[in-house]
Amino acid sequence: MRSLVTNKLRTFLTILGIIIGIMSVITLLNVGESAQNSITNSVNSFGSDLISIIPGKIDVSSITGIVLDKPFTVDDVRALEEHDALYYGGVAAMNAQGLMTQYEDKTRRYTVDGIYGDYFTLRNMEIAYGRNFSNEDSQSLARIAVIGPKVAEEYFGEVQLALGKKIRINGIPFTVIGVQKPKDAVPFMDPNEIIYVPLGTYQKLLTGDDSVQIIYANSKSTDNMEYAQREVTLVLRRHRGIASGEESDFSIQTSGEILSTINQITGIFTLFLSAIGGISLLVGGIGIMNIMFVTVRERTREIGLRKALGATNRDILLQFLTEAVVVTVLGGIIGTILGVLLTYIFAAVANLEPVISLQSVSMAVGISAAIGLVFGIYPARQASLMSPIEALRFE
Amino acid sequence: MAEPLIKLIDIRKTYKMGETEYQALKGVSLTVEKGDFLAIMGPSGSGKSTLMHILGCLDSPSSGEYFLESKEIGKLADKDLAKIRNEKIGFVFQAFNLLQRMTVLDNVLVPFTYSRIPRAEQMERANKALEKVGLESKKSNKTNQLSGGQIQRTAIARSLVMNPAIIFADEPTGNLDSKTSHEIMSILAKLNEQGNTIILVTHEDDIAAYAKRIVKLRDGEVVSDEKQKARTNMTTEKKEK
Repeated sequence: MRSLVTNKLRTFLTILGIIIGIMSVITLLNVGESAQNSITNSVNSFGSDLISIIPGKIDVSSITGIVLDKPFTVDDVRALEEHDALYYGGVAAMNAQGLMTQYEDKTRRYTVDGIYGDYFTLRNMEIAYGRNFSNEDSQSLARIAVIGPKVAEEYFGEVQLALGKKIRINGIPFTVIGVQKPKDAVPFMDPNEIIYVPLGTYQKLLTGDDSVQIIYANSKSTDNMEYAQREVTLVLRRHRGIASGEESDFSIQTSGEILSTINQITGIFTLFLSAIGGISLLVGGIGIMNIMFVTVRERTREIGLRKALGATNRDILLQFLTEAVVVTVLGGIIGTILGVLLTYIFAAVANLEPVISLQSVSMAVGISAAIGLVFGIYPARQASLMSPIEALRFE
Repeated sequence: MAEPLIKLIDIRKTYKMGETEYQALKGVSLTVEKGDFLAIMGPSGSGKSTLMHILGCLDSPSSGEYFLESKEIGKLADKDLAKIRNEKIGFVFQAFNLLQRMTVLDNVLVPFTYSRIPRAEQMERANKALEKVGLESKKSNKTNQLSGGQIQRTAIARSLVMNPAIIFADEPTGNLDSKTSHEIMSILAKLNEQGNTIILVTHEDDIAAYAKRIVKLRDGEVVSDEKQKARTNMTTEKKEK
């Protein structure tokens, strides 16, 4: 143990590999977990009873992954609304695009959502000031907008001052009729920085395209998600004239399915990146083994002496094994601390709520101890099997 | 007469060196009584080191019997030999073999690592041993701050702490100047007076002169085994408590 202290620099360099390995594994696992958590939260904030329908078939062989034959239009949404639904409740549609907006001399780029139907209800959003718009506003191409609280603050200083003001989107004036209540931010998208306008107005005046990007429906009860999903599918298939036996030209997913897809993707990423960290650990372990061989050789006489003084092979084995494990666990602890720090930094940069899983920490310490055992056992065994006479004679 | 402390009967040791076999010991029989001070002498290659290693349980004989305190130990497993080395045998080596960067006291405490003696008693015994070799004032010193004589005295203290049945000293003065050598030998002689059994390996006559009995080896065989007259500055037999 003493030799670890006296060879501080050597010990440090030896465990650097372990430190880096554990640090990267800890960081990746926890950043992955944080991201996954945020995504879960944001998907859940949409409502766990939400069903999303996008046009096109999912086709992994195509470049985009989706084959789009026939886009959705408001007609599809109406068909869902008009159907006397048993299992699904609200229906909504949304198109979104980043556009230049302007108030007086301030110009900002914001995401503008053209929405239709029960969008606010389905996405669990509420109006703080003013009112929401209706489907009639969409049909009459009303130039009105509901804005996120951050947009209101940016343009008008105070949220309350927003109502009745005119902001220009693509140069077209829209009257602010409502301000949305603040919502928790999710990674890479802040729901408080969005401008909502009626879908009809959006299509005719802002994009000149009457397709619908996404349709939402919600299940009346979360227990009947499957039935609601099937009902939506049937209504849309009938409306779009798809013969039975033919594949649907749209894809339908529940929040749960979206979540599991996202989790699968982040899981694969985390696993992949952790594997790289694992390689670093392996290299670190080989470094440990190498330095243990050097140590055993350097301390041959000490081994001989200890044996002469009554140490059994087992005592010597344990001594060197303990040293290896202490070194690697030390590396593991330093790596864990650095990894946790890095996770906080990453989380701050990516606007995530940092999550440090105890499991990852205990795993890191466990793994580093295991590396010490695995890579320390061979040199330690070599030390333990030395003949005391040979060892004492060693110069 | 009581059972001897050590009884060797026809000990042989053969080393295989590739194709050829080398007989280091060709049938050594030897008896050592409790309280003896024995010097094993002989030129290099005479087998004295091999004999020492076997006596010190660092090595096993190829054939023959070795009784230590009436217990046959020639054929014991490594683990049991380690226990005997720990409890029954104290070693003092030519090349000192202290652990570097440790204090004198820590070095003296090393044998306890492999025993189950309570901490308080360990400290008591270590202090007593350091007192016997006159190093109690140096016990907090690191080994690199010591002179050769002090290092060897530390090693002697270390060999004493387990209250061993025998102390083996393998060329204990080989690395020391003659003045320090005699200092060390006086300590060993005094320890023998106090009842410790000591087996010394040396090739120097004036060092061997401290012993009560000299066994000479040549070519793996005992060629002479003589009692010496007691040194003038020493009382002869000291009774055991």
